[in-house]
Order: sequence, then structure tokens, then C-alpha cells
Amino acid sequence: MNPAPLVPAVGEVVEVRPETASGDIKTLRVRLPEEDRFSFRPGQCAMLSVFGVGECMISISSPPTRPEELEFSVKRVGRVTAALHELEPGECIGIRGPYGNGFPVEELRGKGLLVVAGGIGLAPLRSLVNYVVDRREEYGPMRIVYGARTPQDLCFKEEIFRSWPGVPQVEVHLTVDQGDEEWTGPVGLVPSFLEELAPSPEGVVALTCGPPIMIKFVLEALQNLGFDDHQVLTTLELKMQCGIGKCGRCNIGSRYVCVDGPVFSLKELRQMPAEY
Amino acid sequence: MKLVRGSDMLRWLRRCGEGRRWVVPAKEDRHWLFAERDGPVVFPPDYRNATVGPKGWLLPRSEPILYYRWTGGRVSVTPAQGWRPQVIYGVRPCDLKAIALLDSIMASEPWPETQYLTRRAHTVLVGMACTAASSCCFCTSMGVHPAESYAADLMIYPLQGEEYGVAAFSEVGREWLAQLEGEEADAAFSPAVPALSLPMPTSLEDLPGWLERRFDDPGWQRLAWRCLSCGLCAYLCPTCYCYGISDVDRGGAGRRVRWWDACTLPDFSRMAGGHDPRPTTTERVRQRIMHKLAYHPARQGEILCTGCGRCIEYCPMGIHLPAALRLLGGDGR
Ligand SMILES: Cc1cc2nc3c(=O)[nH]c(=O)nc-3n(C[C@H](O)[C@H](O)[C@H](O)COP(=O)(O)OP(=O)(O)OC[C@H]3O[C@@H](n4cnc5c(N)ncnc54)[C@H](O)[C@@H]3O)c2cc1C
Ligand code: SF4
Ligand code: SF4
Ligand code: FES
Repeated sequence: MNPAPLVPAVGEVVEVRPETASGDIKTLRVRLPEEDRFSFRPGQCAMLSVFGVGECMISISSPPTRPEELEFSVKRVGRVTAALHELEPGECIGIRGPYGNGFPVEELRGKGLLVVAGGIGLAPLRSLVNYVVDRREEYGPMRIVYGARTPQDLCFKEEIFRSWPGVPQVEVHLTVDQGDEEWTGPVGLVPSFLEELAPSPEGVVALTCGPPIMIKFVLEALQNLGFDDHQVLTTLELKMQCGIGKCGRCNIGSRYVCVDGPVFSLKELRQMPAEY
Repeated sequence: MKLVRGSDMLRWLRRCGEGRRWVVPAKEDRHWLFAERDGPVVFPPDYRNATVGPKGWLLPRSEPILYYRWTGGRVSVTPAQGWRPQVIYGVRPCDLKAIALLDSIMASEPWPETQYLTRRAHTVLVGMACTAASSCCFCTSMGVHPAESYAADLMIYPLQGEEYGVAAFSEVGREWLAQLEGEEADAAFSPAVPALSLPMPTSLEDLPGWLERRFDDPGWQRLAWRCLSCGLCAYLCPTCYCYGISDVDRGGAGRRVRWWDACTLPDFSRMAGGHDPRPTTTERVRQRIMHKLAYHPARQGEILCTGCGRCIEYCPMGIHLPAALRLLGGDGR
């Protein structure tokens, strides 16, 4: 254990990949010194920092089955995320973690998975998807439903268009709010697209992440499709500073999103005050 | 307990605490606060408790977490060593209980806060039982007792005139006490009777549930109308510990600091892009009170208020737990 939990390790940025045409989302590939590496589970996060600017919480978007390097996919929305976007290969980055509960990969074993994501919300789920791809025989069929504003805004294009659809028992369904000249796929919002696809809840767990408004309607859609509250997992986002349950910032009722979350079942969510 | 005269007690304490920083109640202008001084002191008869408690000597108002320096595109990071051996002297039971609460929070898994815990481990706490209450004290309503030791290593009980009783409650405390020449005796100590007895709408055990059922009560809004969002309540409260973290850059080098924050301040939970789960004063005042009386009890089994009365005495707008319970209880609406 790190003797001072708020002091990050210093890693090195190995690669920076823009995900979207506008460049508002970039994936950083990062290498930590051997002694600072940690094991983690899909859905966990790390506090990234640019020394002199600050820290922010970002999901680990690479899977634990590929532990040599970590990937983080960052949407530029403010001070720290802008500074992260300016990093170049070879530069230093602060990392501490892993934080949060992550997805319950043991409990999910043997089950079918329905992954529903919007925009940058695919980042934490991408870790899970690749984990399942790497341990394919341990899980049931996996359906990925993913949407973004425009085709240009879809992240992880190599995976969603090429590698994932080629994996046995993996289906990828893409939608965009607004098409362009080249787009021949479905156009529409994720929740209604999901209801049209009408996946069966039989033996399946649904996992969702995206903008709050999308999550809200996806949860409704899943309910209409017959998914039970305990079959639905979602990730929540609250402002964070410490990431270790000590700064009193990220609570919803008596739960701290940084240590008890960010993954909650719909069943748990219903017992929490609607303050998120 | 050992019986001892005041002057002998101070001499003994000073000797035991040799080499440590002394943090004691000190008066600055109108207000008492805990400050670094040469050694322990005798309290004037009208002293009750400090406006600013000893919290900041364990969880400083602002403190470095680390120092960083950039050289040739590489950064070197040095963790801060923010502790010095210290004695905090004259801590009242409500504040001792508050420190015990902070201890359990900072030690909680999965990420114990080693910076706090290290400083804490180098601190000797000398408590002082209360013989008289101030006009806002309500400790006993919160299950806190004015003669209890809680986090203290040593406890001092003022008896008659110049006479004091001293008892030890930890390894260090017993080591120190062994060096005190004094008569072993069971002296009767008559503790203060708190000025206020809070009329509780329900038992302390049922309070979290009682409040959770009132999450949407219009009383919260009534309370919030008056709140100035000044944050004073959190700064003065001995059990408030919320903090923020930011970098202070001096061009190529600097430090990462953590600083006291307050959930009643407008930016506390505001996220990038503007979304705020607690967008108005109503949610923020509710958060402060619910955290103390409902959320923390649900999480760690204890109420996060020790009845020290500071929020009653110092909130400029009279917003405090008794006021909240009254408004939510129905009367005064
Ligand atoms: C569990 C979790 C996982 C996340 N995963 C990702 C991810 O994979 N990719 C991604 O792009 N974003 C992710 N975010 C959101 C990301 O943390 C914020 O966008 C980021 O903190 C904004 O920081 P900023 O300095 O750019 O913004 P500013 O508005 O300048 O924020 C100032 C500070 O406030 C805090 N803060 C502000 N907004 C948020 C927020 N939404 N969540 C948490 N802290 C906040 C941060 O500490 C930040 O440094 C995640 C958030 C959480 C809580
Ligand atoms: S409750 Fe009182 S002390 Fe606290 S922020 Fe509001 S006005 Fe200030
Ligand atoms: S809430 Fe008020 S009475 Fe309770 S410990 Fe804090 S300042 Fe003291
Ligand atoms: S981020 Fe500090 S308590 Fe969760």
C-alpha cells in the first residue's frame, strides 16, 4: 500500500490518441514504473494529475488482462482535463488508485451481458468488454449498444467497427443522434434504439454508462423490456477530490461514490436519495 | 486518579512534554483558540471552551500533501512530512469525542489517511473535564459526557480550589502519570451540567430514519433561506472534516495542498460543465445536517455531532441542529 494515499506515483505517457474528429476526447496510454503498478478490476478509476494544474478522476479504459500499460480516455471539459490533453508521449503524469468498486466480474461470470453506453461513457465499459473478450469462454453472449452525437463522436473506432464484431458471441449495435454523408447505420437516441432492439432479459445483466439524461432513459427502457432492478448496473459520477472516502465530497446519502461506487445496481440506486 | 496541586501539575506536564510543541487554549483579542505556546497554562475561571477548537492541529486549515519540481521535462515528487511531536492541552470532552470521530473516519478502510494518522500518533492529548457549561452546550443530548475521556491520553479533573485529579487512558498517559508525584485517590468530580437540553423528536438511534423520512420536508427550505453560505459552521465544527485539494504552482515547482472546505459553500459539489447535485442552499444545508445526523450514523454507527454548541453560538443566522430539528418537527412552520 502506498504509505501516503494522496501522493500519486509518476508514470510516463506512451501514446496519445485522439478518439474523435473534434479532438474533444483523447486516449492516453500510460506506463507506470514496475514498483508502482497495481491490479484493478474493470470499472475502477484512477486519479490522474498534471503537477501544477491539479487532479481529476478518470476510469481505466484498458482491461486488467493487459496490465503492462494503462489507458485513460479523457473528455476535455475543464482545467485538468485540458492539461491532460496537452500531454505528449514521454511526458510525466501523476497516477493514484485504483479507486471504486468496479464491475462485479465474478458475479457476472456465465451470464449474458448487455452493455449500453453513450459518448465517453463507453470508457469504463470498454475495460469490461475487453476483459470479457480476453476471457471469452467464462461469459455468455455480449451485446454492445453504443451511441454518440455524430459518427465522428464515436470513440474507440478500431474496436467498435473492427475487432469486437469479429469476436465470437459479441454483437455491436451503433447509433448516432445525427448522421453524416457516410453514415448508413441507425440514427436515433440510445434509449429508443435499445427498445427497438428489444434484447431479452433472460439470464442477462445490463450495464450502462453515459450522460445522466441518457442513463435516466436507458433505465426506463430496461424496465420496459422486463429487466429486474438487480439485473441493471449503472455507474454514477459525482465531483471528487480525494477518491478515498475522506474528503466528504462525493456522497449520495450515506454512500460515497468513490469507494462504494461508481457502480451501483438499480436496486441500490432506488434506496438512495435522488441527489446526483 | 492522582491528586495534585495545580502548580505541581503544570511543572510535571511541562517536564513530560519536553521537546514537544505545546498547543494550548490562548486568548487573542475576544476569542479563544488553540495556539502554540511555551507550555500548559491555568485557565481563568470564566473559560469554557475555545471558539476555534484544536481540530486544525490535526487536520490543518491548509497543508501540503506533496512538493513537486520539474527539471528538464521530468517531475520529482516529495511527500510532505507535516508533523511534529506535540501535546494538545486542555481539550474539552466534546472536542475529545470529535477527535475520536475524526480518528475513526481517517482510519477507515480501504484507504486509511496516513498523513492524519501519523500526525495523530505523534500527538499527546491532555483533556480537561468541564466544571461549568457555556450557554450553548448540549453535549449530553448527543450522548457525550462532560467528564468522559474519549480520545484523551490524560484527563484532568479540576476539583476544589488549587486541587486537580489526573487520570491516564493510554500507554503514553500511564507513562507520564507514573512520573507524577501525587496521592492515589478516588475524588468525587462534579461535572458541568450543560446549559441546553435538546428536545429530541426521537431517540438518538432512530434519528437517522426520522430525518431520512423528512428528506423532502419544506422545513429545509425555511432553514436555507437564512443561510449566508459563509462556511463558518463547518470551519468551527470540531467534527467537520471535508477538504479540497489543489495545486499551488510557483513556476516549475510548487506544492499540492489540501484545505478545509465546507459543504455549505456554493461550489462544493459543482461539476465540470455546471451540473450540481446540490444546486441551491436548501440541498447544501440539508447535506450538512443529514451528514451529521443520518448519513454518518448509517455508515459508521455514530452521530457526527458532539453538542459543543459552536454552531448555535456562532452561525450568524441561527442555523444549527436544534433549529433544524425544531423546523422539521413541525412546530414553527
Ligand atoms: C468515477 C468517475 C469516473 C470518471 N471517468 C471519466 C473518464 O473515464 N473520462 C472522462 O473524460 N471523465 C471521467 N470522469 C469525469 C471527470 O472526472 C471530470 O470530467 C473531471 O474531473 C473534470 O475536471 P476538470 O479539471 O477538467 O474540470 P473543472 O471544472 O476545472 O474541475 C475542477 C475539479 O473539480 C473536480 N470535478 C469537476 N467535475 C467533476 C466530475 N464530473 N467528476 C469528478 N470530479 C469532478 C475535479 O477534481 C477537478 O479537478 C469521471 C468521473 C468520475 C466521478
Ligand atoms: S449555516 Fe450559518 S454558519 Fe453555516 S454557512 Fe449558513 S450562515 Fe454560515
Ligand atoms: S454540529 Fe454544531 S454542536 Fe455539533 S459538533 Fe458541530 S459545531 Fe458542535
Ligand atoms: S472523493 Fe473524497 S470522499 Fe469521495
